[in-house]
Formats: sequence, C-alpha cells, structure tokens
Amino acid sequence: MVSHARQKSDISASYRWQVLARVLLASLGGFALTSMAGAFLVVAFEQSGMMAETQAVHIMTLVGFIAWCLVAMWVFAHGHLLKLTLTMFASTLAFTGLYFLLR
Amino acid sequence: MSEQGFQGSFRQSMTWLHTWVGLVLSLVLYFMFITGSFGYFNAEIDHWMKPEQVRMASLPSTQTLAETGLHYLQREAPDAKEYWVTLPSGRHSNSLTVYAELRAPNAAGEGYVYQQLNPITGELASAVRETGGGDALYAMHYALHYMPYEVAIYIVGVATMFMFIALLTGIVIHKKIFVDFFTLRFNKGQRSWLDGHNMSSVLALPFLLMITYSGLIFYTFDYLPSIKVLTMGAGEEVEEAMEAHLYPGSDSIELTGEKASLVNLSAPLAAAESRWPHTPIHYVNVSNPGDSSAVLRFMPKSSGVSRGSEAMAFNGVTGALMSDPPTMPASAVFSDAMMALHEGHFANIWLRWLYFVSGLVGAAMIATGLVLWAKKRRQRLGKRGTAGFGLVLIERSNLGIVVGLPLGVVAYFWANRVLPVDMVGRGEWEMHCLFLVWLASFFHAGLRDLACAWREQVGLLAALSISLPLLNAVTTDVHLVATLREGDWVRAGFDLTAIAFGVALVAVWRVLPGSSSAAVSRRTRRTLRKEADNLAAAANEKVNV
Repeated sequence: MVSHARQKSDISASYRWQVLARVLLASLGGFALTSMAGAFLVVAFEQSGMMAETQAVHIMTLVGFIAWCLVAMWVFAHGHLLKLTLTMFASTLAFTGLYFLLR
Repeated sequence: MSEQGFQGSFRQSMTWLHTWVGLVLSLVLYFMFITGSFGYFNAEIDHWMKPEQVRMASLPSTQTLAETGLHYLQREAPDAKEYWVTLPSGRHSNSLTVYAELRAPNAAGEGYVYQQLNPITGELASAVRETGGGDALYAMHYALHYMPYEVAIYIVGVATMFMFIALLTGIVIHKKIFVDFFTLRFNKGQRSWLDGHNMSSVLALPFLLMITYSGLIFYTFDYLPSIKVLTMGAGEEVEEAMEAHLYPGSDSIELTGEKASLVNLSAPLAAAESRWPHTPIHYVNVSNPGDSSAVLRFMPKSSGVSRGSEAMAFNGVTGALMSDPPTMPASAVFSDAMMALHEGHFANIWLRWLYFVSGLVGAAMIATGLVLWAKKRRQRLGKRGTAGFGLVLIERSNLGIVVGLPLGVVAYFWANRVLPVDMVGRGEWEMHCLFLVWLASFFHAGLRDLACAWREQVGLLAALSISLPLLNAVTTDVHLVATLREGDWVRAGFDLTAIAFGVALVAVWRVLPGSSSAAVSRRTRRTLRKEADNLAAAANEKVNV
C-alpha cells in the first residue's frame, strides 16, 4: 500500500510543477546568480589592483562552472520553493547592485 | 521542516537530483564516453582502418619534411594567415599534417586547408581507402553527428554540466566511499548492479572529475560567456584581449603588403635543434606567409602536461632570432594543463591504456546506473503491479543504449572492411552503418522478449568482436599472423583487443538471465520452491487434521 501511495504522489501535477520550477531555477537562476557574482568579483579584484581584468575574468569563469553546479544542488536541497526563489532573487540582485556600485 | 529538502532529507534530495541529471541525458553522456574513449587510440584505430598504409621505414630529414609541408601549403594556400606543419613522430609516424588558416574562404567555402601528406613524396596520402578512421569516431564525442557543430557543442555542454552535477551529488550521497572500492557482490540482482555502479564510479572518480570539468574548459567562453561580457563587453577587441591572455605572443602581426619569400630553413632549424637537442622538432609554424612581416617558429613536442609548447621564433625573411614570447599567466597555465590532461597527448602507451580503460569504466558507470534505475522501479512495482509505459520504454531503450552503441561501433569497423574499397562516400557510409545498427538495436530491444534481446545483442556483439580479426584476415593482407610476425603492434594490438573484448563479452553473456548457466540456478530455485510448497502443504494438512 505504501508503495502504491508513493507511486501516486510521484506523478501528481504539483510534483511536476515543482520539478519544472526547480530545473528552471537551477539552470536560468543559477546562470544569473553565477554570472552576477562572478562579474562583481571580477570588478572587485580589478579595482583592488590584485589582478588584471582578463586574468580575473578567466578565473571567475573557470570557478563559475563549479559555482553553478553548487547552486543547482542548493536549489534541490532547499525545501521551501518560495523562500528559495526569493533568496536567489535577492542574492542575484545584491550582486548586481554591488557590481554597478563598484564599476 | 526547515532542514527538509525537495525530496525529504538532504541526502534523499541529492539522490533524487543525482538520478535525474544522470538519466535525462544519459544517452548523450554514454555516447560521449564510448566514442571519447576510442579517441585515446585514434591514430592506432586509423592505422588499422587504413590497411593499405605502409609504415615508413625511414623518414627524410627534419628539414626536408618541413620544406615538403611548406611547399604544399605555398602551392595550395598562397593567401593564408598561418601555416602549420606537423612532422611525423611517435603515434603519428606515417603522416605529415599540413594546415593553413586562410584569409578568405576558399572555393569550397572553408576557411582552412587541412591535409595529410605522404612524408616521402609530399603528395596527398590518398593511396588508402576512404575512411572516417579513428578521428571521425573520436570527433563525435564533442561534435556529435548529423548536426551543425554550433548546435552539437551546446548539447554536449549541457550534458557535461549534468555529468558534473551527477558526480558531485554522487559524492555527497555516498556513505562508505572506501568500502565500496572493494565491494562487488555477484549474482545478487539489484545489489550487484548497485555495487557495479559504485565501484566503477569510485574507482574512476579522479578521472571522471578531471575529464568532466576539463571538457567544459575547452569551450569556457562559449558555455559561460556572461562574466566576460558583463565586465569586458563584446566584440573583436575583447576577443583579442582574451586571446592574448590565454596564448601570449600569438597576437597577429600587421601585414606590410610587401611580398617576400621565406628564408631558407637550414640555419634557423639548426639553431632550434641545438636549443632542444633531446626533443625533435614537431611543429613548424609560419605567420603571415609570403609577406615581409612573416614569422617562422619551430616547436619541439611538449614534454610536460601542456598543449602548447615552447617556441623559437625567427624573422621569416631574414632568419634573425626574435625574442621569446612572454610567459603564460597562471589561469592560462591551469586551463591549458586541464585540456592537456583531457587529451592525454603526453601519455605513453601504458598511460594511454589507463585513459582508455578509465573512459570505458565511466561508460560502465552510466550503463549500470541506467539498469539500476529500471530495476528499482520494477522492484517498487512488486510482483503484481503492471509497468507503465515510461518504465517499459526505459527498460527497452536501456538495452539499445548500453549494448546498441558498442554494436554500432563494431559495425563501423566491419563496414570499413566490408564496403567496396572504391565506393563513393565510403567514409560517410561507414558512419551510417554505425547509426543504422544502433537504431536497429533499439527496434530489436523494443520488439523482442527483453531477456532474449539482451542475450542476443550481447551474443552478437561478442561474435562480431571476436570475428573482427577473421574478417580482417579475409579482406586484407595485414592479418594477425602477418602483423605479429612483422612487429606491427598497432594493427596486431587492435585485433587482439577485439578478441579480448569478445571473450569478456562471452563471459557477460553466460551470466545474463536466461542463458544456460543462469538456467541451472533457476532450475534449482524451482526445485527448492516445489519442495517448500510440498512442506507447506504437509503442514497445512497437519493443522487441518
């Protein structure tokens, strides 16, 4: 009986929407967050005179692949979809603000 | 509830994600691992697929070889930005490769000229049958087939990101990573598949992480262009600035427009050879050929884990030595080393085998993961539940993926020997054979009783693999006896590997459910069950009495 109930919940519409929403958050949201965080860090490194721009861009892009994957994992580790969406949105916005501030 | 993830606990959520990213593009990933693994032996496979190719007993001098290559390019590509001549050496001892980057597309609409020349005559190496060879097989692992390159690399990119996430989540959800290193229980049904999945992934984990991450690095700014665009903008200057960062000293030199012929190679070559007395010159490069601004470079084969190598640059007209290029910045050294690790050009024959086996272990990891997923679903259904369309589809396509693709690859080798030697479009038809056989495997898996289909396809794969050397002996004169006697270990190695694969597959075939040895155990089980039933019936009678 237990397995039967599980089967049913597996294919419910809300489950499918959850999967779609999280896949979009992990891919598009993850891309946006990674890009903005990376861009902010590049500007920060460059402004502080620690690294040449091309060097910083290259390093941040190389790190970006790993960061993007970790963000994707975070999207699926988090229970509350709405809270997750808001947190991702807010942090992307924060990095965007910092990026424009420093540029 | 706060520590709850998408699917219950953190571990359960990560398991869900691991399964999802592992399955969705498993077809592409398995394809990339299989074809990519063969890439580590591209030159060797090429040599086998060109049985007419004669091994060069003795090669002309470095200078003659370089001149042969450059003369061909001067004739065929007079208006070019760059000339590259790769001299024969090591695994590529049969061919002189010439490449020119053109200033404008040629009549065929291509922006380059690329040819393999006979190192002695300097003519096109066309005395061999038309074949895709090892290179066409290997190029599919990033460029796929039957689609534009620009589309393929993005499909491959998404699949690679999925693979990367599958690896990271796989590490996170793993309870006993070291124990699983040594755990493989046979004939335990689903448990055996899980052991196999764990062992293949844990054993090859360093390789898998390296190959996946470095795969992304080849297309760094194609896959993740945003950070560059946000900070540096887009356009020609940005591309040039990044190019100068990644490959310092390679920035293009202004043309003068004055015609000038190339300096005689002997003095610059002698200078280069005395700088690297122990490593032969491997590449000859000319920038702005035919112009008075021409630069001539000699490069030895890289001895370390690096794609590029040191170069000695000369004025292409006067032959005067130019200053060395600036050293690479740290991030460029890192990405260069990662790509070199991915390609493994530096690997000697034993390391090459390790690369090949690791790649196949990666493919085995994907295959066992696929089968495991279907087995779990089956088990969850219980004995009485009927499988839905999705599960049936995946169970059947699993066979088409896991065994069908290797069948296609063997068909590719068969086609190389069976198709008429003078056939038009022969190389492309070899490839069609691969995909047709692969497609047929899906149909066979879909129409036949599944257990039978597994046995038949694995059996066929074993048979085609073992008989490949026989086919070779019937159709060519470079059969195993001849190649062994001659010491042609490349061709002999191919034949021997095919036999070894076939024998291993026979062992797999024997333990597949429904085959004779498995049938014995089923008979035993049936006898036991009958005995148990009898006992139960006897017990029942006793109670009733």
